[in-house]
Amino acid sequence: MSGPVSGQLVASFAGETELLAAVRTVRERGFRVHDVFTPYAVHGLDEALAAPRSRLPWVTLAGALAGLTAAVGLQVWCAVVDWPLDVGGKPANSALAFLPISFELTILLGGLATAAAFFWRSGLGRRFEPRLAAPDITDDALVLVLALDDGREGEARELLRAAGAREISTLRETRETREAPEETAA
Amino acid sequence: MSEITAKTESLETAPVRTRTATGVALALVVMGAAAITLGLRFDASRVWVDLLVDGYYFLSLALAGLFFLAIKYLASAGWWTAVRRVPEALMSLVPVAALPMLAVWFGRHALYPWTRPGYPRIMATEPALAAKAAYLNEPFFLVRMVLFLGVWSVFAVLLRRASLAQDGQAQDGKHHQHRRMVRLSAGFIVVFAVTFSLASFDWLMSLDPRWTSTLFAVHTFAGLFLAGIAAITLIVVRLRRGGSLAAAVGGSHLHDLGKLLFAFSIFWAYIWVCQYLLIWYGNLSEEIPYYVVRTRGAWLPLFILIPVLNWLVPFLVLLSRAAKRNPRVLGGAAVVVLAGGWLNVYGIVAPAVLPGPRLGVIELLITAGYAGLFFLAATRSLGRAPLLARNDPFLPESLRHHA
Repeated sequence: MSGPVSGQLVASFAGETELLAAVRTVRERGFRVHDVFTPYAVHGLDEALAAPRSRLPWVTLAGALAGLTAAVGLQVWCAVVDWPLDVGGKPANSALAFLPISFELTILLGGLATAAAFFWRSGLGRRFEPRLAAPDITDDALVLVLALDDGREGEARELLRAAGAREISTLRETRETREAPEETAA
Repeated sequence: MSEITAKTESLETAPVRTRTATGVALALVVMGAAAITLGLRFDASRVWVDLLVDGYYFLSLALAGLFFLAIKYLASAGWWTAVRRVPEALMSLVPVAALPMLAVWFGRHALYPWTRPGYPRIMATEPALAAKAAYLNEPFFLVRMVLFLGVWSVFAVLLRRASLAQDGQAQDGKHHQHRRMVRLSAGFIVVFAVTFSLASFDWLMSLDPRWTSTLFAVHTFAGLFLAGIAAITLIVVRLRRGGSLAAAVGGSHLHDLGKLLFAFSIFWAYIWVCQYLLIWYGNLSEEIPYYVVRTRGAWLPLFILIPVLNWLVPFLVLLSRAAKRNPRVLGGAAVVVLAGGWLNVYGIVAPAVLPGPRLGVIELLITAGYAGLFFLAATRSLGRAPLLARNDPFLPESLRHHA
């Protein structure tokens, strides 16, 4: 079989052991894993994929610092600078009194920023047309999508089959030309 | 399963303490005992303060081990099983720590004004105090003290016995023992909530019989659990460095211990601020003296140092993921929190009794003596059973743990 210049191979696996082995072998042989879809979190998959650490904590930190600054700034400016308030005879700049609001706004903005960044980066909530690369992808299958950057489709199929793929199909560049999944003996 | 057998067997004979360490610990105990004996003769009220602080603090650490086990059994948690023997070692110190705490009874006149002769007459003249007379009197105080220490010791002994029995059980027996430990844990949690609150009222809050804080027991509990997690973390880090637990406890276990330490450091700070904020805002004459004393003069540096050690340092140090997974950084943070936990108890007790902070060689010697005693008892407990609880149904899950 002469491989296409570009496209993707979609291989589905029955168990996480096979999937992890497949990810490791194809990466060792120089292939690029486009993505992996699993019905549950598979331990060790991030390491096998050498996935970079999420940058989400930095968004949380930025949101939290923004919340803290806003809360402290607002309270100090209102109650100390602009219109000093006498509450129970206490000094106007009683930092302790500002603590609850500062704490809550820090948590609130940190949490909201994290959620917003997550939704934005993962594309959740955005309109998209589903493209089911493998029929059992929404069921119990663990699916590996391999990028065919430089052809070598035959070699890739060989490796995936050896790793225990249940089913392997080719996904072309455009959805219209997608081939029917070819049954492969596991 | 062969992987588990191999890991269990590799830990079977691991030594947990060297001969030198035993010698040093024994020397510390002897020096601590000498400091107590001499100190009681020349500076009694100062040493009774130290005995209450150390007695309460080390008992808290032991109880934290028991509480940690109880919540893990009740939550059916699996990740922690590889380090199960560590909170168990702390738990087996409850009877050991109960005796020095009981000795505080003999220093009651130096510590608790309401036990002094003539005080009942003052109590009778103040309505708020007169109402407390039925609770704050010497016989009932002693009964409660013996009862609390006894009940905790019984739970600790029963849980430890079930745990050791599980080691020798076959397939069916190990689940039977596990269910038994879950039932014991459920009973303990309920009993502990009431008894520990009352014990904190008795031993710490009644140092000033007029003062009350509804948040006090939450504050002392937060201190207990924070210091307890720090102690468990530190022992795990030390055992790993010695090679004893290295095969079974990985970065993920450390990461989770680090998360607990981080989270409960924030919880402690939250409760600390809650109590301070409410009393400061209310500014009521029966509540505010507690903080007036502690934020004036020589007590102020101590008052500031306590949240710095219990919250600020561990918060900044453990914020990143890499820090929680690094045994050196995690162990360092645990040491800071343990010191902060001791100072927290000192900051509750000493200002009620002494005119100014007296932290010197005597405090260091006595605390080191308690630490030596704890080290001997904890390592003895660790050495008496395999370091991995091989029949715990959650052990395979814990060995594969990945966070």
